Amino acid sequence: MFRHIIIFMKSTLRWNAKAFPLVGFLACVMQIIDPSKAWVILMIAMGGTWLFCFWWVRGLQRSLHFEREMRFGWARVGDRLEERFTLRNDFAMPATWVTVVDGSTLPDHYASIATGVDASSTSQWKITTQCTRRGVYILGGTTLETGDPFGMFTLTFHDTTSSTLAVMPPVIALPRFQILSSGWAGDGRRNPRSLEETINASHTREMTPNDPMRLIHWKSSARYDKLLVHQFEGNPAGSWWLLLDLDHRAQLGEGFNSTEEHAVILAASIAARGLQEDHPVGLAINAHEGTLLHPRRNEYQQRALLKALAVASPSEMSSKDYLQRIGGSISSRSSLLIVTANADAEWTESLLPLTWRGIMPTVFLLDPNSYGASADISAFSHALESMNVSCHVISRELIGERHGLIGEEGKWEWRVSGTGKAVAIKAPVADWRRLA
Amino acid sequence: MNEHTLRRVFRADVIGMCLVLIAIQVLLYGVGTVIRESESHTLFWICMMAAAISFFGAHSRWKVRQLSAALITLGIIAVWIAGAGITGPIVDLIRGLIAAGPQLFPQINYRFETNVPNVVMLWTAIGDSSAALATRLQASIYDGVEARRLSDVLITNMFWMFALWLLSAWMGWFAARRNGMASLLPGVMLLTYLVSATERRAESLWAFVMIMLLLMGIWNFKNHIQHWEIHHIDYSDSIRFDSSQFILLVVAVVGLASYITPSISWRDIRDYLRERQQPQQIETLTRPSSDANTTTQSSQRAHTSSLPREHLLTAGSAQSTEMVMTIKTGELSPVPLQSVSANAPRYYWRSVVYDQYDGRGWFTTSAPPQSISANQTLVAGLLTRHKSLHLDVQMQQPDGRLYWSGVLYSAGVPLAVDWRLRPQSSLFADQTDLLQADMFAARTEATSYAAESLVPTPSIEQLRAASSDEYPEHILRLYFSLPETLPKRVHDLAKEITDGQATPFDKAKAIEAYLRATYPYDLNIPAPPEDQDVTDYFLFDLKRGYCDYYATAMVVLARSSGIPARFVSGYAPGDYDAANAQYVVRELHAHSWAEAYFPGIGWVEFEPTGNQPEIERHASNESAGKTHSEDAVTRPVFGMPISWSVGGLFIPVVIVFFAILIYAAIIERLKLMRMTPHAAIEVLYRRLYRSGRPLAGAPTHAETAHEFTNNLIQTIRAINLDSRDASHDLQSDITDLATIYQSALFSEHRADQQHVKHALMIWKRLRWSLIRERIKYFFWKQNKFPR
Repeated sequence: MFRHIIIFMKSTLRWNAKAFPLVGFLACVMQIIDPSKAWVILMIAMGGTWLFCFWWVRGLQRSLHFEREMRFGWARVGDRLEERFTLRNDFAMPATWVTVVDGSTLPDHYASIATGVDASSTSQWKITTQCTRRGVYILGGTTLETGDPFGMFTLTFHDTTSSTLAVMPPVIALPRFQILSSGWAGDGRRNPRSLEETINASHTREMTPNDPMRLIHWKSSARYDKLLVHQFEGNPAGSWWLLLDLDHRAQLGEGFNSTEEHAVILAASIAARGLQEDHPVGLAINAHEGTLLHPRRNEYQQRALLKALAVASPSEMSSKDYLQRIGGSISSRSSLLIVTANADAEWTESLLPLTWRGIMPTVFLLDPNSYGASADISAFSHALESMNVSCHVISRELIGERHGLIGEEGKWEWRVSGTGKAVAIKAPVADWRRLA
Repeated sequence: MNEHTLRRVFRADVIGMCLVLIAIQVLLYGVGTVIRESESHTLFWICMMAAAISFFGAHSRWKVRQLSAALITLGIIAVWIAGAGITGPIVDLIRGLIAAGPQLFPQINYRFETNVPNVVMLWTAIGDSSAALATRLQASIYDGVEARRLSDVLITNMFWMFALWLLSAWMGWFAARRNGMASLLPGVMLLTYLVSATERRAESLWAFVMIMLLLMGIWNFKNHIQHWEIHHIDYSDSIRFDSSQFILLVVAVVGLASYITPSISWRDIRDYLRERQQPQQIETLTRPSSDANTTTQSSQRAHTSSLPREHLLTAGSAQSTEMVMTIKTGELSPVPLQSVSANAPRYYWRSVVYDQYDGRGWFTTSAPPQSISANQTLVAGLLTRHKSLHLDVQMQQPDGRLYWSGVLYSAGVPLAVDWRLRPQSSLFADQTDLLQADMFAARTEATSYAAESLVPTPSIEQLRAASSDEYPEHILRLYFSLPETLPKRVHDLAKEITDGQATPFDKAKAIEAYLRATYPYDLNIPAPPEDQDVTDYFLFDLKRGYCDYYATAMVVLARSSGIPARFVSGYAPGDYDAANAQYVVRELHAHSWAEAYFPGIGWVEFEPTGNQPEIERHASNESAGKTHSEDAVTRPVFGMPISWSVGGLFIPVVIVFFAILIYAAIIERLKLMRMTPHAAIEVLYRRLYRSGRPLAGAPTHAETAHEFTNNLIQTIRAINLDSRDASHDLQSDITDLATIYQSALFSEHRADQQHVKHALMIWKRLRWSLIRERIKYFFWKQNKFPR
C-alpha cells in the first residue's frame, strides 16, 4: 500500500550548508599537502558531520512513507469530516521533525502539523473537522518537510494527490407549503410507462450537461450546427422549476445567518421535498456561475441539485433581468418556485409573460425584516396577489432553528451502560479511502 | 527551581547566546598564540561589546550599511583607546566635562567643583598618547610598504584587536538571525589558519567547531518552532527532546572522533596487530623501537664520549658525493641560467650540540628542567639580532626516510619543526603523547619536513658590546668546564693567543684566526693516542686535521680563555643549486664548528676550519639592520611568518574562494532581500536574460519574456535531443522564473519576499546549468555548422 503511494511523492533535497562539504574537502586536500591537526579536526568535525547528516537525510528520503486517507467523498454542512494520516519511517535513524503542510481549501480544516517519527516505526493521527460552509473544496495536496537536526539539509516531499470534496447545503424539514400547479386539471397526465415526463415535444433547446443523448434532435442540430435536444411539454402535476435568485443587491446578513445561505438551504430543502414527492425538479440559479438544470426525477438529480447549490454565490444580474433571460428555458405549464430575498415589486412584472405560458409561479420570500432590514413587503405581496401568484414569506428563525439540527455523517453516538462502559450506538459507516 | 523557571533558563535563545559568549572566549584563547595574552581580558570585553552592538543593531531599524559603518567607526575608536592606553584619562575627562556642564549651561541649577587644570592635563595626556601611537602606526605602515617584518607588537596587537572586533560583530549579527554556520564560520577559518601555521592550541579550533555545531542544532530547532508558531502549525513537545538528544549525541560522537583521530597512529595499530599475530617476531620488531626510545631519551643520559664522526677518519664518506638532503629556504628565486652564479647566504645545518669535553671527545649532558619566569625571553636577542628562516628539508640519505627518533637538521636556533610526537608502541599507553600525536604526519615513509629557525645576525659592534659578566647560570655551569687533565700548555696557548684582546668576541676571533692560519686541513691522519688529550695532540703534535679537531680545539681554547663555547656537528652549507633555489647537501659536506655565547645575543657560530670560508659579519648595527631587512624573505603577517610555499600560496586562494562562496551564499541573498520584491525579481530575470541570450539567438523587435524563454527552451531542447529528461528541469525552471517575472510585472497581486526567495532558488539552479548549456551549445554548433 505504501509503496504505491511513494510513486506520487516527489522529493527534493536542499543543501543548506554548502560550506561544510567544501571545507571538509579542502581540509582533506590540505592534509595531504601540508598535514596539520587543524585540517584533521575540520575534516572530521565538519566534513564528517556533513556526511553523517547526508546519509541520514538520504535514508529518510528513501524510507519515509506517507499516506492520507479520508472517509467520505462528500458531506453536508454540519457533517464531521475525518482524515487519517500515516507516517512510516523504515530507516535506522529517526525523523526528529516532520512538518506536514496541508494544502486543503476546506474552511476550518487544520491538518498541518509538526511531528516526529522514531526509527523503524509508524506514526498515525486523525484530524476531525466539522464542515461549516457549503462549497466544493480540495483536500490535499500535502507537503512534508523534514531534515537533519542541524539544518544542513531540508528534505521536501510533495504529495500531489488530492480529492474534491463537495460540501452540500443542508436539507431541513419544512412545513407544508402549497405549491400551485399550472395547466389544466388532467391535462397531459403522465403515462407511467413513458420514459419522459410527457410525450409531447413542444420545441427544441440547446443541449446542456446531463441531457441524455437520445433526446438530441439531429435534424435541428445539423441545421444550426450545434446540439439541440427535444423540450417536452411540462406535466401540470409534475415539473417543478426551482429558481434561486441570488441577486447580490438583495442579500442581507453575513455568514450562516445571511439570506444567501438561508436561500440556498431553502432551495435545497424544497428540491428534496419535490423529489421526495416524485416531481421532476429543475433548477435555475441567478448566481455568479449561472446554473441551469432541467427537471429530472432520477436518483442522481438530488446530488446534482445539491452540488449546484453548494457552489452558488451572489450574482451581479438583477432578478428581473434573470427572469427575462431564463424564462424561455422554463417548460410551459410547469410550476415555478422562486426563492428570493428581493422584496422589490418591480421584478414581479417579469412573471406575467410566464403565466401566459401556463407556468404557475410560487414565491418564497425571505423576510428582509427578520434579517435586520426594515422593508415594507406589502407592495410586493399586492403585486403578486394581483397576478394570482402565491407568496410565502419565510422568516429567518424558520431556517435558523432547523439549521442547528443538521449534520449526521461522521458522528459518533455513545451510550453508557450500567457498568459505566461506553458503547458506540452509531459510528461512521464509510471506510477509509486514500485521496485519489 | 520549578519547571517554568528551568524552561526559561534553558530556552534556545538563552543557550545560544551563552554559546556565542563561550565561542568568543575560545576564539580569543586560540588567537592568544599570536597576540599578547596579557590583553586577553580587555580584548574579551571589546569583542563582547562588538557582538552586543551588532546583535541589538540587527534587531533595530538600522540598515546593514549604516550599522557596518557605525561598527567600523566604533571599532577603530575602541582599538585606538585600548592601544593608546587612554581608557582611564578618557573616563576622567568625561567626568570632568560632566562636572563642567552646569557652568556652561546655567539652566542646570546645580554646581560641581570643576578642576579645569586637571581637565586640560587629561586632554594633553590623551593627545600625547594618541600622537605617540600615531607615530608608531606610521612607522609600522612604512615597514609594511617596504615589505619589512611588522615588529611593533603593539601595532600588531591593535590589528588583531580590530580584526577580532569585526569578527565579533559578524558573530553578533548572525546570532541575531540565528544562523550558526554563518556566525562562526569566519572564526573557524581564522583559527584553522592559526593552528595550521603554529600547531598550537588546536583544542581551540576543536571547541569552536563543536560550538558551531551546537549552535546550528539549537538555532535550527528554534527557527522551526518560530516557523510553526507563525503558521499556526501544531507541534509536539517530543520534538524538542528528540532534537536536543540527537544534537548532543551527534556533537559528542563527532567531537570525540575529531579529538582522537588526529592522535591515532595507523602504523602503531598495524604494528600492534602484527605483534599479536606473529609473537615470534616481536623481539625482532621491537628491538629497533627500543633503540629508538633509547635515543629519544638520550637527553636524560650522558653518551659515551668520542669525537663525533670517527667514520671520517676512513675518508670514505668524507669524500662521498652521495646526496644527504636538499634544503629550500625560499630566499632566492630559481635562476634558470646556469651561468648566473647566485650569491646565496651561507647557513650551517645543525644537528647535534655537545657541551662536555673529557679529553677523549664530546658528549652531551642531560638537560635539566628549567624554570622560566613570565616575560623572560627564551632566546637571547630574539627580537633584534635574529632573523627567522623557513626551511623545507628533503631527506635523501639514509635511505630517504625519517624516523621518530632521527636527527633533524636546521639552521641556527630551531624554533619549530612540523614533526609530531610518536605515540608509545603499546597502544594508548601514554595519553599525553597520544593526544599530541598526528596520525597523518606520523608516517615513517615521510622524507621531508619543514622547520622554522632563528639565525643570529648580530653585528661585530654588537658582539663587542656584549658584556662578559652577565652569563646565565646554566651557561656558567655547562659551557666553561674543561677536564682537569687538560695539559697546561693548552691553557698557555689560549692565553698567548688572546693576550691583548679586550672583548670575548675579539678573543674568539683571535682563536678562530689562529687555528685557521696555523693548521692545515687533512683527512688522512692517524687516530689520536689512547693516553693523550685530543686537543693537545692536535695543537702540539699532529698539527693538522679535519673539522672535528679544529672545532674541538676552538671550543677548548675559548673556554680556557673565559668564553662559554660548545661543539656543534651537522653539515656545512653545501652546494647551492640556483636553478632550483635549493642547497644540495652531500656526505662530503659533513662538518663541525664551534659556537660561543654572548649575553643578550645568544650562540654565535665560528668557523675555525681552514678549508671553509670565513663567516661574514657586519661591522655596525646599521649595516646589519639593512642586511637583515634585505635578507628577510619571510613575509610576516601580524607578527607571524608565512613562507610562500604551497601552503602559503594556498591561503589567499582559499580566502578568495571563501569570499566568493560567502558572496554567493549570503551577500547575494541579503542584497536581493533588501530590494523591493519587484526589483529583485527583475534583477534575477535580467541575469537569466544575460546568460540565456546567446542561446536564445538574436532578439526580435519588441520581444516579450515569453518569446525569449520559448526561444531559449527550443535551443536547449535542440542541444539535448538525446537526453530530454535531463533538460526537463532546466526548461521548467526557465519557465517558472519567466512566469514569476511576468506575474511581478503584470499581475494584480504584488510580488512578495516569498516570490523573491523562490526566484532566487530557481536562479541558483539555473546559473550553472546555463553555463553548462552554453558550453554544450558551443560544441553543438561546431558539429552542426562546421566551418
